[in-house]
Amino acid sequence: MIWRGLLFLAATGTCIAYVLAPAAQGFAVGESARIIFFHVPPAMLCTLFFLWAAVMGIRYLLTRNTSFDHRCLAAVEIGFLLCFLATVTGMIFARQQWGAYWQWDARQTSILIQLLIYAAYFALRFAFVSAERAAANSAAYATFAFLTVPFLIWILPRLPQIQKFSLHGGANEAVIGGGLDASYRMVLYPTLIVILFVAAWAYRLRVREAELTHTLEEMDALASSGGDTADSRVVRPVRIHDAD
Amino acid sequence: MKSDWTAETFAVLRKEAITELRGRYGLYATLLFSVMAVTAIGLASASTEPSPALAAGMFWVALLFAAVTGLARTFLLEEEQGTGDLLRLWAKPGPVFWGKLIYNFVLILVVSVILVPLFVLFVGVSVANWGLLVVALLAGCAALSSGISVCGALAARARGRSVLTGVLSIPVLFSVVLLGVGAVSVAFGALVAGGWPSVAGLAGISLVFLAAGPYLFAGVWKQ
Repeated sequence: MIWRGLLFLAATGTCIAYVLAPAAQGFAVGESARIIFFHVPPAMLCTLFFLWAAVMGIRYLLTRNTSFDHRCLAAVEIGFLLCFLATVTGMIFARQQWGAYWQWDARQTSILIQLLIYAAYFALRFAFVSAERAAANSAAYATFAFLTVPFLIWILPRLPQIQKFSLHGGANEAVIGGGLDASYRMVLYPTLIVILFVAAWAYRLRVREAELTHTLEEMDALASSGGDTADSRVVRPVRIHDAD
Repeated sequence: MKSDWTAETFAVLRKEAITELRGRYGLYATLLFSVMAVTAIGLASASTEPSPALAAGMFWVALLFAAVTGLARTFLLEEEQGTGDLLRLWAKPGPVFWGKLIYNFVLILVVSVILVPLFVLFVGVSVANWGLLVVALLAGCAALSSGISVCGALAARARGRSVLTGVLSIPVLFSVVLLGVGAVSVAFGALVAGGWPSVAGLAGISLVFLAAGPYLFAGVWKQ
């Protein structure tokens, strides 16, 4: 309970810091640069959740424990939501900074591809009647899909012919390599931690909800099959009286 | 044990080849699709001479859709014809995956070899670097065939499997297409750097798909 209060205070502090942060220099609209506090953390954290989904997918395939399937699904859902937030905040910033919502910049392209890949995960998951088959196939897909993520994030944007048209420039290196102004660093990194905790909390709640639903479905199936008492299943010998 | 594995792989490959020769549906449909794609591209760009980068993009779009149309059939047909369960009883997952993958690789390589002269003739591109083009096509076809084989296997027993295979494999293969466009545009004469680094990226993604594919396939095949 205490940690929830602390999280609430930290989130409130983040919102206040967002308003108080100075306008950035070197941007077309300096005020709009504050959006990076809510653009960069989701972009970084969605990859972390997709990695976690792949780990849980592998564990499900190895153990067939449904708990890992619930974790894999929850991680993809939270990762997808974060990816969507990063895309939308990026589009708003692109409109202010570059004059259009979408420019086919290398980073925009890679995050759009990630969104499409994980949207396909849900299409696969809903396409099976059997819950076990849905769990196994979507776990395998979550793992397979993550294999492309390093290529999308680290390799493609660094190819010379793609880098030439990149509008992000060295923005990512600046954020990771500490090239940001100190006032922005002081807001960005705590925001990253707050969003991580909020996302982890949402993930935990989603896993609990999925496990409760699974338990209720099992109990329902048991009740509709007549319970687990022996006398409803055991066939006893019966005497058939001869007709006189 | 190893010889058993190899023999099973080649038996699956032989089965695919015989099925193809009996029906001739897959290769014929895929090739015809490629020819139609080139015709459509040629018609759309009839009044202009496309730049090497645009021609490379169109080439990879044609190759991607030909691959999605033709390659996933190897897994989908097993379930549609009801032969999947027999194959599960008869063979281990590894040889099934590799046998079908090799067949798919050969099929898409044939399609790409036919697409290149069609592009030269009808779209008006000229190949400036044949070595780069050949290596890029080999690496790209390996990535396409392995990616679609895994996605085809995952979608094979789902509802709406034909559409679902495209939905699963196209976004996963976008990175392959982007790397392929980077390499082929340089091979078509684009004056930019990055041809060989793109080929290295293609080879890397092919190796990753080939390394993970059999394990993921084994996780879902016998369920």
